[in-house]
Amino acid sequence: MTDNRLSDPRTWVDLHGDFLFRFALLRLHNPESAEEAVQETFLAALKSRDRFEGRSSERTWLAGILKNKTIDLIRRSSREKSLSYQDVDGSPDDFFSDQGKWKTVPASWPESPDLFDRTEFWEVFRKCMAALPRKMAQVFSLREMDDLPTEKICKALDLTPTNLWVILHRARLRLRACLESNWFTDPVQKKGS
Amino acid sequence: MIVLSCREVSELISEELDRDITFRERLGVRLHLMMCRGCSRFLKQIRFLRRVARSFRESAGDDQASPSLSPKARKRIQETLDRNES
Repeated sequence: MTDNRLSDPRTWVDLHGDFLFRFALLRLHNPESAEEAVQETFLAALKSRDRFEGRSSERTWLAGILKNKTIDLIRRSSREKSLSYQDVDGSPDDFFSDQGKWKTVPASWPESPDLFDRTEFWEVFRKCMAALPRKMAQVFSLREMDDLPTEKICKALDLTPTNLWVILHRARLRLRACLESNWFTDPVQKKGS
Repeated sequence: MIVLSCREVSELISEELDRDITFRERLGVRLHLMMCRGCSRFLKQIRFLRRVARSFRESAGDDQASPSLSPKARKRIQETLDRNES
C-alpha cells in the first residue's frame, strides 16, 4: 500500500468489496442501491486510475469516489420517485401535544463508559436507523456521520435549509426516542452493563 | 419575554447543531432550559447522538457482524470489472 500503484482491478472486489458495500449501506440504507454504488465506484475508479497518485491508500481513494456516488444516487432516487422530502415532514406529530409539550418526557440516560465497545449497543443503533424513513436516514447520515456542511447537503439534494432542519429535527427525535426505549431504559440491556 | 414551548425549544436545540441561532433564540432556549428537565436532557442526548453517529462510521466498515455483499452482487460486480479490464 505504500507505493503509488493500484492493485489489479480484478482483485478489487475481494480486497474492498465488503468494506465499500458497508460504507455505501451506511449512507444509502438500501442494499440494492449500495450494490449499485459499489459497482459504479469500481467503474469510475477504472476510468480515473491514471490520476491515482498514491497519496492515500487504495481503499481511501475508492471510498472517496464512493462518497460522491452515494450523493448522486440519493439525488437520483429522490427525483425518480414521487416521494419527496416533504412527506417526511408530513407525518403526524408523535412527540408533542397540541400545546407543544413533550408527550413522553425524555428520561435520564445512565452513563456507561464502555458503551461504544458493546456490540449489542450498535445492533440497537442499527435497528433504530433502519426504523427511520429512508430519506430521513440518508440525510441524517450525511450530516451526522459524514459531517457534511448543511449548504452542501441542501445543494446536493435540492433541499431548502428549512426542509433540512425539519428533517434533521425529526430524525434526532426519532433516534433519541428509539435508543431510549430500546437501550437506555431497557432493563435487560442495563443489567448487562 | 420570549416564551417557547418544548417543541420550539427542541427545534432550536436541533438547529443549533446545523446553523448559528440568533441571540434572541439562544436566550429563549436558555430561559426554557432553566425550568425544563426534559428539554435539558434532549439537548444533552442529541449532542451525544452526534458522537454516536461518528463513532458508528468509524467502526461499521470493519465490523464483521454487519452485512456484506451478497454472492450474487459480488459475482455481477466481478464480471463487470473483468469485462472492463480485459
